[in-house]
Amino acid sequence: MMWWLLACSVQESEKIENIPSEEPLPDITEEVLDQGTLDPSQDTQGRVVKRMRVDQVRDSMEQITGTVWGNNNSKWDLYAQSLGVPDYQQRMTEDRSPSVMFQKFLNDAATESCAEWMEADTDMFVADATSLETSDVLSNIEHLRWLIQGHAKGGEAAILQDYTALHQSVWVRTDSTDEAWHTVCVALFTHPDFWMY
Amino acid sequence: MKISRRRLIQSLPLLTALPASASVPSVTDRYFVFAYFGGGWDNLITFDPRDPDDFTQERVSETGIELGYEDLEVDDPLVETDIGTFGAYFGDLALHTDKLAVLRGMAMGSIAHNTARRHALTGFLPAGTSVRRSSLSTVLAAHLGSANPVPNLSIGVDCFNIDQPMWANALQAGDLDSLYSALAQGESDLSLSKRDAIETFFAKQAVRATTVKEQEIYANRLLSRELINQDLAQFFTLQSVETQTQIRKEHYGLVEERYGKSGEMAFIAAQALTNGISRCVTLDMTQSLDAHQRDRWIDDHGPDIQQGLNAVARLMEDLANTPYDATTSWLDRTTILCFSEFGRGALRNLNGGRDHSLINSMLLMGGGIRGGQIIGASSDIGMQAQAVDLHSGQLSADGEILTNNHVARTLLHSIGLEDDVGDYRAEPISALLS
Repeated sequence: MMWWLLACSVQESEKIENIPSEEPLPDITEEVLDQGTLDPSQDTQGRVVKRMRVDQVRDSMEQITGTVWGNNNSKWDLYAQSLGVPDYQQRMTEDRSPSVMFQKFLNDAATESCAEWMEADTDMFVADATSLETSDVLSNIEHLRWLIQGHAKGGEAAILQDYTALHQSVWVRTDSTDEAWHTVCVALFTHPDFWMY
Repeated sequence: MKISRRRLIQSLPLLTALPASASVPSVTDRYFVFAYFGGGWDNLITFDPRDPDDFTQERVSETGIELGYEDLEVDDPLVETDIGTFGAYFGDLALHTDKLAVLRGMAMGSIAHNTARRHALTGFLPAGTSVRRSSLSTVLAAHLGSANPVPNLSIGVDCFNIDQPMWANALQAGDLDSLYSALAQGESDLSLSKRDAIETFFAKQAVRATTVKEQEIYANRLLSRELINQDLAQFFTLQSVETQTQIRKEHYGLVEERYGKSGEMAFIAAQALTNGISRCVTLDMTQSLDAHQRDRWIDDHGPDIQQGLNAVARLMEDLANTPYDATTSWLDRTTILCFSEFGRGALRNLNGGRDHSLINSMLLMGGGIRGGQIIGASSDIGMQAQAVDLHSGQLSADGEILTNNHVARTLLHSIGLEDDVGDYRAEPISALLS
């Protein structure tokens, strides 16, 4: 028992010796942190943009225009294999690259669907479609861009000027606002703003 | 405003740069056809048969090989040729053995369709189904140049590009009709003046492109218009009155569908190559050959392969009869590779069909290939792969088991790329090369 008590007392004394001496605590200061002290993020990485699947493109175009490319015999189905739609035999996942084939058939679909959409007359335009007034043309372009690409109206995107120039260019060449709007419609559907996200 | 595809591509260095390992081929007048027989083919009834007098049903437990020839509706299960014996469904390739090299006893990397197919197409075993190399056709097209309007054409077969220039991407169509539609103006295409205006609009967008993806989008768009403008569709319609097309329509039996889908595929290859449209053409030659069931194996499997091989034989004849220049034919300049993702088992399954097997054969013919030979062999016990001396083509214990990697390396070597530019990590089969 004595040996045990002796051993304990030795250990206890070693422990006490090992405790470092306390350093003085720093003084607490009341500093007001400004909100502007943080740098804005320099991280520009985002997710990689993807092409819509063929069924997404098809459904979107049909919903917007109210027409089916190929009418009763959908050409989206006819060209499914060329468009990279999986058949679950050879291909399990959809090819979602912006391929030559996809863009060619998208162009064909847009050309036909836009023509039928214009014939059907719906709420395609918010201003007089025959007007060449810049404000009317711009209003219609913004409206179509909202319908087709989902871009909010307003703003001063450079591309609005490009669509306006396209409208103007076709009107000059064909003397027809119908032709001009048909071409703008095709451009809106074939622009990656519609089918990439 | 018109911007040519070449001008656009030249302005996009990111899309045109060859990988750092690129070297220059010494043979530039070479063309390639990749004829894919999907689903896994049975080597015992085609390229690697056995004598039914030796490999009897009674000896199956000893040999591990079950022929099943007695169930097939054929007069003779074996076909004798100058270079060796083949199965009943070898078809008209028996007429062209002098130009044909057969690889036997190869080992595939997988017996899963997707993985094995991608291994065969890329020459490198994928990670799962994720390819780790570009398709061999893409690599070859990239090294042979962008002079042809569609350097790489693929019908019904996936094609991959993970490290090659964008112009080497395959134009992938499902069938002849889709290919025609892709190259022709749409039924209600825009008028010329509207097209010109819209191309000006997209040219502006292309100039503003800041990412490789955007550049790819606008370059592909421009290419789709260029292909239409070049009127390439005329070569892929049976309505064409052009003489050569009419002759080929007859040669490949397209009206009466003599060779089914296979005839259409061979027709596309001939038209794409000899009209200067493509460098590399990949074709889905047959409907799926997968034959796990007895009826499918007995009734369809062999005849479907034979139909595809007959179409390949017609393609060889067509190319051989079409002059490339004063002294050579198109067949002298075109290498044809016939392959399936894997073989079928040496034993029949409980359903009387055959399941998947790693052991396989491949056929090569035409330009750059030393024809009239059989390289390698599968073993007589269980049809296993056997090592081959790559220089002599003979079985050798010191040799290597032949794989897709060897074939890929060999084809690149055949155009003078002696370095392993595709990183296949295998030596070329020099015995194959002429």
